[in-house]
Amino acid sequence: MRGAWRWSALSREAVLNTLNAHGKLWPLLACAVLGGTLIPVSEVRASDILRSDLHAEQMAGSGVVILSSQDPSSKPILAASCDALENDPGVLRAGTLDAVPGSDDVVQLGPYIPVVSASRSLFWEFGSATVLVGRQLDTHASDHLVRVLASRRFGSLDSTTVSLQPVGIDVNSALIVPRPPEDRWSSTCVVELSSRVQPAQMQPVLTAQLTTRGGMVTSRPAFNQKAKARDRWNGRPERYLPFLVAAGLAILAAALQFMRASEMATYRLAGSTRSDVWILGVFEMVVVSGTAAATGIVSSLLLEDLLADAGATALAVLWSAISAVWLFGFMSTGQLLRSEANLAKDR
Amino acid sequence: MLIAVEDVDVTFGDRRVLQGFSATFPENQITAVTGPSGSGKSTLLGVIAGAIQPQHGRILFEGRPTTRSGRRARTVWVPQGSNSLPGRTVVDNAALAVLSRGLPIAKARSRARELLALVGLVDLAQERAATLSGGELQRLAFARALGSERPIVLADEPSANLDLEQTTILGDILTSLRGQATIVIASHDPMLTRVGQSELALR
Repeated sequence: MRGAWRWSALSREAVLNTLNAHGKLWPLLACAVLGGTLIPVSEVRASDILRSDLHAEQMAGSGVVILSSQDPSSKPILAASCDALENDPGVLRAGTLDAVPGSDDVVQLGPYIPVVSASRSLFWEFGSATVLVGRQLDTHASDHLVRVLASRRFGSLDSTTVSLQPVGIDVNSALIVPRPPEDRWSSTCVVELSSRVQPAQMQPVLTAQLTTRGGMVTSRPAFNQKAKARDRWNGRPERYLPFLVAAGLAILAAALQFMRASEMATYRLAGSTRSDVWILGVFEMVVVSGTAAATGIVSSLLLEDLLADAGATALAVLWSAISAVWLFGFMSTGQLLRSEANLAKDR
Repeated sequence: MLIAVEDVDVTFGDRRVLQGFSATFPENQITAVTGPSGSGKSTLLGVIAGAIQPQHGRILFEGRPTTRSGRRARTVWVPQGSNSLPGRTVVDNAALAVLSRGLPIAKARSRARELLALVGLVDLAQERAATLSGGELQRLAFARALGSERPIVLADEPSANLDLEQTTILGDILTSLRGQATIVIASHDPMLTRVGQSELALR
């Protein structure tokens, strides 16, 4: 039965008992700070693995969709319609890729190096360079080729080396030039999607938006394996840490409350009802869990750049704190059964 | 509050602790219950407090039979030894009983200081309870008991573990509390039982 204690007085008791350097709850408070910090810190490691896995999958072409004619010699895609796909939600970039006709004429140094014309929307580097060099081309050889290209076909050229491109945007060993304005039709349109979008779901949407002529255009993903990065993320052991922290804090709190039987007896001998003393214990746990939540949320914000999803991590910390209070409340009901005289004997 | 115990039997297993026991405890007086260990002093206090249910007999407050919960609501227990919140101040400890009656914090602390003055601890109000001696803790327990404003205070061997000087101080303080509540003290310490205005001897 609820006694006469005011909520404000019970809250004050809980705060004074918990945040008391001479009290018995400071080890619990220290564990709460540790547990609250541990959750986001452990997620940093898991987030790092996820980023690395996603990057590997991205480089293997997991986000690339290729839309092309079945006949490689035909150019059925209106280039402008392909470039416009970059405005679709979930699309990182889109544009055409075509082999430059007659590039075989270019004097080669060593092995054959293709020259590809690409949409400006596909490579932001076209903003500062007129020819792009694939990342895997030998620097000296590419420099020579750029000079040759410049003298034979394109006039004066500024070049820059582009970053490594994913599978599906196969230009890492090629020279890339911007698509001339007069080339209105293209053989291949490539689209790179955000990692949050499923390529299989987007393929028909993208195909439907292309303006085509003549031959039939088909779409295919550049990545033919099963994406596992998200599965590994969802199965990470760190996912269970919030529950372990909640259970650990609740068990420790229940053990400490058992050791504080004399203090609980003091409240009861002073006329407090069993339920008031139980509520006091729960309030103390709210202070402890609140400390854990505050530490965890602040840590999540500080580590935001290193976390895959800082918001989800902060929510996990909050869930853990609420669960700890709930678990403790359940565990401490046994104390309701003990009489004040029985509690007073445990010193 | 006038207490009457009528024809009470209490048995623990095969052991009969109280048999056909009857007594009255005058209102607002201190009654000392004396007797050797095992004579049933603590059991009698437990019966009055509602902690122990007798197999037979009845307990009357103000001439009316009471239920167990009714007895619990009108009594306050001062046990052997000294329970406290050791990390908290003396005034915080004394205020607990006042707070449990639903008074606001400021009023409870003000009343707690008055109670500490009654038991001679007001100078130690801001000290931590952990720094108090056994006798001082026992006095703090009485201050808390009075703060509950329940009409009956039951003290079980309050001078246990106290030296002569502390027992004398406690006795003097109990004497000063005469008329404030119906106080029943179970003790076999003559230094303490002398404060009783009436004595009930158990055998």
